[in-house]
Order: sequence, then C-alpha cells, then structure tokens
Amino acid sequence: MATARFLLKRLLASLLVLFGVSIIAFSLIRIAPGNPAMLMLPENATEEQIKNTEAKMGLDKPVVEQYLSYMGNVLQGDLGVSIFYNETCSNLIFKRLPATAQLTLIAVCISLIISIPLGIIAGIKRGTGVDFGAVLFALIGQSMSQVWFGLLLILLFGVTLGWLPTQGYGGFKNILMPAITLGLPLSAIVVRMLRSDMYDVMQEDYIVSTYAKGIGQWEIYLKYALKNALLPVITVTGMQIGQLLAGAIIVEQIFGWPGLGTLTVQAINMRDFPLIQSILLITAAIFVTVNTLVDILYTVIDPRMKLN
Amino acid sequence: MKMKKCLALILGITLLVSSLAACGNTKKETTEEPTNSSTGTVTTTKDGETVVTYSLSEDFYTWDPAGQPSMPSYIARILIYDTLIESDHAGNYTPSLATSWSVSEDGKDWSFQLRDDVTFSNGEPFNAECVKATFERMAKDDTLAMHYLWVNLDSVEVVDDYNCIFHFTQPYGAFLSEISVASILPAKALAEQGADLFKTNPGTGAWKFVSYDPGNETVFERNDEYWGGQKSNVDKIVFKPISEDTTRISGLKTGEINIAGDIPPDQAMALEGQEALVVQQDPGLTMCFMSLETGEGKVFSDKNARLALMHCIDRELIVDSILGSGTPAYWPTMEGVIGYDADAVNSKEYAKYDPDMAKQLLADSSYNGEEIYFMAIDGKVPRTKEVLQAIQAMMTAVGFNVKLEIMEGATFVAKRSAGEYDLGFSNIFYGNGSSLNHANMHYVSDSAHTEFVNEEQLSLINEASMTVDLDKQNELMRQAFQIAMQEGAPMQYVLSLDMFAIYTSNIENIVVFPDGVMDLRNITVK
Repeated sequence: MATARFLLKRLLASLLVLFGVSIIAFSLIRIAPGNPAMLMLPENATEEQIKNTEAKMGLDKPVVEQYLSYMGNVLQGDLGVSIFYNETCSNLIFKRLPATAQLTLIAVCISLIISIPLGIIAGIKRGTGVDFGAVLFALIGQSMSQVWFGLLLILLFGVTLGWLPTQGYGGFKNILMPAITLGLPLSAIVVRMLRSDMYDVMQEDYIVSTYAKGIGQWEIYLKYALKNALLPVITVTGMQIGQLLAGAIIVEQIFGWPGLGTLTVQAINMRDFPLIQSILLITAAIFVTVNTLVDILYTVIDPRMKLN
Repeated sequence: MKMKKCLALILGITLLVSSLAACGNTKKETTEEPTNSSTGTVTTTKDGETVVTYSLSEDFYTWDPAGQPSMPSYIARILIYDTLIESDHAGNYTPSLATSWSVSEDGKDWSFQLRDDVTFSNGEPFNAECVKATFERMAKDDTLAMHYLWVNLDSVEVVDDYNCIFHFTQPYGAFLSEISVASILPAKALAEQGADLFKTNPGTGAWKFVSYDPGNETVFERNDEYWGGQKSNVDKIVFKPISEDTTRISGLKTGEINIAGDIPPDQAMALEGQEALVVQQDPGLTMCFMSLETGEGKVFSDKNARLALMHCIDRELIVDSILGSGTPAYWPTMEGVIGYDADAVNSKEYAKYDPDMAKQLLADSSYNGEEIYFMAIDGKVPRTKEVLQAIQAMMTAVGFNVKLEIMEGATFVAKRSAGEYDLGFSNIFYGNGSSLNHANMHYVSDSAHTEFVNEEQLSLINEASMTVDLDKQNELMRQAFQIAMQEGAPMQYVLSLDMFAIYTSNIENIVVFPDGVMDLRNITVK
C-alpha cells in the first residue's frame, strides 16, 4: 500500500518536473540566437523565403500556440517531426537511444566492478599502499578530462597496440574504450566515497559488538559494514546515470558512437527545435525514472527507510 | 519485507535482461551485416566483398540535392546521381547525361540533347521530363536552399523524350557551372513520393544508395549496370561521420578508415612520410574573409579606417608562422577563379602589410578608440583562436580597440544578418572556380548586412552574372573586385586554405578537386 502511494506521488511529481522541463527546453532554444529557417536556406535568402520556410516548419505561429500544439501532440504520444531529418523525432531518438543506453550501462558496470572492491579495501586498509593507490586513482579519475583520457586510450590501445578498434559502433570491442572513458569519473567518485564511508562505519559501536560475537573478519566487512557504507554510493550512482547519459555527448563525439549525444549536438547546431525539445524531454523522463528506481532500491537495502 | 525483496529481485532481473537484450542486438547486427562491423579496413568479408570506408567530420543533414549542401552530400551526389554535363573544375565542360548543348544568341535559351540509354536505379527511364521536373522544382519552390540559383528560370520545355530547352528570363552567366553540379532526379518517383524520395535516393550514377543510419554510417553499393561503364573494383563504400579529428586520424593509421577529409593542416603534415598513407596537399578554393559592417555610425563606415584594417594585417606571418600552409590573400580570388588579377597579387598593391601606413590612415579617420566587435565562426580557419587573436593583436598594434568573440555558426549567422557586429570572420569556397555566387550573395544581396553600396561595383557584378562569355565575365568581375580592394569594403580577404586529403596507399583512382570535393566513382583498390 505504502509503495503504491509512494509511486503515485512520485508519478505526479515527475509529471510536474517534465512539464517544467518542456517549458524550459521550449523557451531556451527559442531565446538562443539562430533560426532554423535561415540555416536551411542560403545566406542570401529573402525575407519572404525565410517566412515561407518558417511557415513550412510551423514556426510562424505565436510561441504560446506553438507550445500548446507541441504539448498537445506530446500527450498523444507524438513528439513531432524533425526539421532536418524529415523523420519523426521518436523514431530518431529511439533508434539512437539503445546505443547510448548500452554505453551508459556498460560504463556503470565497469566502473562499479573496479571501484567497489577498490573502495572497500582502501577503507579497511587505511594508510597502506593499496589505500594510497586508490586515492591516487580517485584523484586522477576526477581531474582527468574525458577528452584527453579518451584520446590517450585510442592512441595506446587502438593505434600503438592495435588491440581495439579506434572508433565505430558494433561489437563488444568497440564499446570498451568509450565505456571506460565514460565510467572513469564515476569510479573515482565511488572509490573516494566508499573508502571514507567504510572507514567511518568500521568505527561504529555495532561493528565492535560483531567482533565481540566472534564473527569472521570478511563477514563483518561485507555483510555488516558494507550495507551501511553502500547507501551513499547507490545515491551517487543513480544520480550519475542521468549525468552519464548527458556526459555521453562528449565521449560519443570522440569515439564516433552513434548515440543520443551525437544526435543532440547535430540538433543543436542546426537549431532543429522539435528534435531538441524531444531529446530533452526524453532524457529528463529517463533521469526521473532512474531516480525513482534508486529511491525504491534504497528501502530494499535499508529497511529503516520508508517510502515517502 | 518479503515484498521489498521481491521488488528488488524484479528490478535486478529487469536491468539484467535489458542489458543482455542490448548486447544481443549488437551481436546480431554484426553477424548479419558485415559492413556494420567496426573495421573499415579494405576487407574481404565472408561474401568476398571489398569495402572502402571514408570519413569526414560532419554527417549528412539532408539528402535532397536541392537542399543546403554540405561536403558529405557533395561527395554522395557524385556517387549516386549524374548531371547533364560535367566540369573539370577549371572551366571546361564535357558531356554526361546530355550529349550536346547550345545557347541561343541572346543567351536566354539553352538546348540540350540527352542520352537515350539511361535508367535510374529504381527502374525509371531517364528522359527530358526528368530534367524538367528537377529544375522547375528548384525554380518554383522557394523553401529549397538551391532555389536562389534558378529564380530566373522561366521553364524547361520538353521538345521530345530526349531533347529539351531551358528558357530563362535573362541570360545566366553561371549556368554551365551550376548545371554541372545539379543532380538529375527521376520525374515520376519525385511526383509520386515528394520529399520521401530522399529516403531511397534513386539515381542514375555509378553507385547506388543502400542505407543511411544518421550519426553512424551510410552505405553505397557499386552499380554494375552503370551506363558510363563501371570502372571500380570496390563493392561497397561506407561513409562514417567522426567529428573528432584525432579519432579520424587514428582510424587512418590503423587502416579502419581508408579516406579522410577535414584534416587540420598541422595534423595532416605530421602524417606526411608515412608509408601506408598518401597525403595530398593542394592550394584550395576556400577563401577566409571578413565582412565589414559599414552602416551609419559604425567604425568601418569610414574608408580610412577600412584601409587601415587592410594594411595592418600581416597575412604572410599568419600563413607561415601559425598555419604552416595556405596562401596570403592580396586579392579576393585565387588563380583559376573568375575575376583573378595576377598583377595585383604579385605587387600586393592593395593589401600590403604596412603598420606605419595603417597608423597614419587610422589617424586620418574619424576613429576615436570605439570598441570594435570582431566575431567569428569557430572552425572556419584551422587554429581559429590563434589566427584570430593574431589579427586582433595586429589591429591593436595600430590603434584599434578590438573585442573578439568566437561562436558557433547559427549564432554568427543570426547576428551578422541583423548587422549586430563590426567585423565578421568566415569563409567561402569558390565551387567550380566561380566567384559569381560569392559576389551575388555577399555583395549584391548583402546577406552579411554590410550596408555597403557602390553602384558601379553592383552593376559590374550584375552584368557579369548575365554574361555567358567567360572571358568577358572574368574581366567584369576583376573590375568589381578592384573596387572592393580600393574601398576596403564590403569584404576584406585574409588567406586561402590549402586542401588536404589523406588516404591509405592501396587506394587508387580517386580525384580530389581543389574545393575539397572527392570523386570516388572510379575508386579501385590495389
């Protein structure tokens, strides 16, 4: 019952967020200088030609009317037609979304596989070489620019060693370098958080009592301490998935990955209004959904938390 | 508690399944379509196909040949379509879909005799109706980017299946140059499908369009029934847009990419001497220029201020020290382009670097240290920032007070067409060696909103636009450009860029034109 009420509440709040996003997206791209009709026509297009082209794109109507008709269509599941691709926005987006989702998911997996063990060990073995290594990793991971790191990977594994393809979309080999590049900042954050949380939790009284009970060392770490130390990590990972979807723009550009990121850049460059709006709306929806899932996951891990 | 565990389980399973599904999809794609796989090396796939991959920084925006052109679409159009006549990009024209042509005495009517043995890849026969449909569409629909080239086309008369006559309302000086790049579309399919035609792109060309996956790749297939005789031994050409220069170059080095364009000069020159790569460097037809807003109240409404700008820029220094390639521009066009004046270029008569003279000119002008808003599109010249900061510094050295802003194209175009600037840096390329487009667009239509009006200059350009005789056209344009150099307006020219194309050394028989467009029709692999 509580879960159902929570979900309903969350749904309403999400709709409100999406409504806000739609207004902001709609007005921001219209405030920004640049006119899609002018970009589609040669530089010496006449006023009349520009007006006719705007009419063809439906951009001649008052902004409020444009917004209302756009939202009306969205509510019926129609995201409109891209000005430049002459194809429905939903088609374009859902054709590209799997590539970005795949990249994000694998990036998260890789970064958690690296960072969780590293963070745990660094937390319980404070002051040792492993700890120093983990801190160094976190420092580099957080300060290294993704562009730079991506190019280094390409040079090393693509050009010099020839192990992995330098760019392109396709098999597992293609995804490795972009996923590592994308996941690097996340793993750095997780290592840092888990390291300090693990250390703090290990000082708690209840851990001392588990020692007193004679429970084995690793059982204490993994069963008793990790559960509490992991909570902030889940929050951060959830938030980061949204950011990774957006951050993928840069990584996709570097590796020529045909995801939502490259589509977004093209849409913005050409001021493809309907497409930009729809991408933002869909991305926001994904972000909201992921965050709701994270909240639910929270209560599963920590029964003290209540859904409300 | 139980319910929560259940929920967690469901969540976990959903995540797992979705990720597995995503991976599954990929695998399927790679096994079913060999060309979809990452490696673009000239490979013999399991069906024995030879595949060549070429890559540029941008993707296609439109597949409509009458839409706003971009480098990928120029190259694709040569592959999949034919034109009535072909140009060697040096003022000579040879037959293609048209076997012969003639012009009436008054220069208004052009007659063409067409080939009778050509079919489109969708099976539709090529005939005079296709010519009519292609050109009248551009003349009538003013929402098409190429409309402006055909405003004076009254009609195309179909005499019989293989003869047609273009009727213009006035003589059209750039006609041959323009039809040599105008792709002929199938009339029947165009009438039936409208804009949807550009999802399948049936043409008469040496290659057939297969598929377009935006942002990922476009595939072309050799057309063995090509009327002109198929000369290529490559089965498929795959186009990949990769915006990051370094990645494109890395792909070249590993052989994943066979042909690449849009390579910055310094990076291209670094690849010279590599055995596996051919680096082709030629003087190009791309000219970097600055438009000057000369309207009332603006700094550059004063001729002395404009000439001070002209003489304060050390063009040679920029070319030699910053770019390491290119040619300083002492005239609006380069050799081989209509309106060229060799004497003016050699003597540097109009744009000589002379900071003392520039200072004097500025002192004689009405300029009082007002801020000059200097804006530029990022990427219109290699090392945009360094080049523009050098210009800014050179201007500051003679007494200008300059605020520089580098921006993306859409913002620039909006600001420039509204006249909200003093100095705007961009580039133009003289496609087919003709400067008429530039002159009409930027001088006559004043699309850069310079507000500069010189009646003599405009009438010279107008006359040149209506002159079919190329020698006469050349002289008229030379005079028009001379006024631009004497007045320092509405445009000033900085430098022209070299054109670089890089390809793996097993590629043969590709033609790279001075404007950067590549003709890959006859491509062969050693």
